[in-house]
Amino acid sequence: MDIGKQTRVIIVEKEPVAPRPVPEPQKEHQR
Amino acid sequence: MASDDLLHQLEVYRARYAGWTIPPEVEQLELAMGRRRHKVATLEARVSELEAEITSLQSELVGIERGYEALISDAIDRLRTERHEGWSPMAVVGYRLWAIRDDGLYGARERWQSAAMVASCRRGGTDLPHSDGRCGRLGCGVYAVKDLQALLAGHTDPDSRGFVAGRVELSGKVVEHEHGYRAERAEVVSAVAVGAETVAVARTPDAVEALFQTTEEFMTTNGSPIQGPVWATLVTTLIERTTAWTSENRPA
Repeated sequence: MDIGKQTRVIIVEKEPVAPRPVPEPQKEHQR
Repeated sequence: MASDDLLHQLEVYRARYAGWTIPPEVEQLELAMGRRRHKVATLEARVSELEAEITSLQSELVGIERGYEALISDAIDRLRTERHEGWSPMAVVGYRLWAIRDDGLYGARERWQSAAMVASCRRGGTDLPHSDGRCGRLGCGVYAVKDLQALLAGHTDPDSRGFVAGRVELSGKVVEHEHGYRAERAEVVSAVAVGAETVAVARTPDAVEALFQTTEEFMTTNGSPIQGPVWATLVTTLIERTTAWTSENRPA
């Protein structure tokens, strides 16, 4: 694919994804 | 150095017994000690001067290093401005095509074994994709175009089959061109596979990954008969309204 002449550089620094919170186990499972 | 007590005793016995001849070796050794003490004192003075000079030079060096770093930072900032280098916390969006073959999906250069691809360069080096022209006209990097419709019109026709069109998110170093990009990293976020008789859409990360890793199985499970022009399906599915955010369009 012809994308034409180079024009500039973009630096993309995506925000790191925060880890999902771990749900607390239910009481029944703690027996 | 002889102890003070011993020297004191020497003086006492000199005074106590008149005519006591002190052995000549004692005076010789006193002279030898005196000469050496003088040399030691001279050298210690020079060491002090050298230490003071070192401290002064270290202090100057700290100042010069700060100036050096400021100068380099300023030169890099000016270069970024002159070359219109952009920065963004959000991925740059582009579009790509892949050919469906028996063993998977192929871009122009190689097979994509998963929905993500990282740039490589046969010339090696760092800071990929290269933007200094060392790779020739077709530089290294993961390619994507800006305009999906132009891509489809240029490489397919409404009756084309056996290809996948996808929307990719580009990140890392992204070299922008007039009509597309060369990226350090690319990740397919949605894709439409056009088989011989069916069309299958992948919108979630898991579905997209399945399309790339087990193409035939994905098409069998998710494909539906082609009805009407496929271009419309591709454009509707892949082009979503997005808000571009780069350092260039950030409000002042």
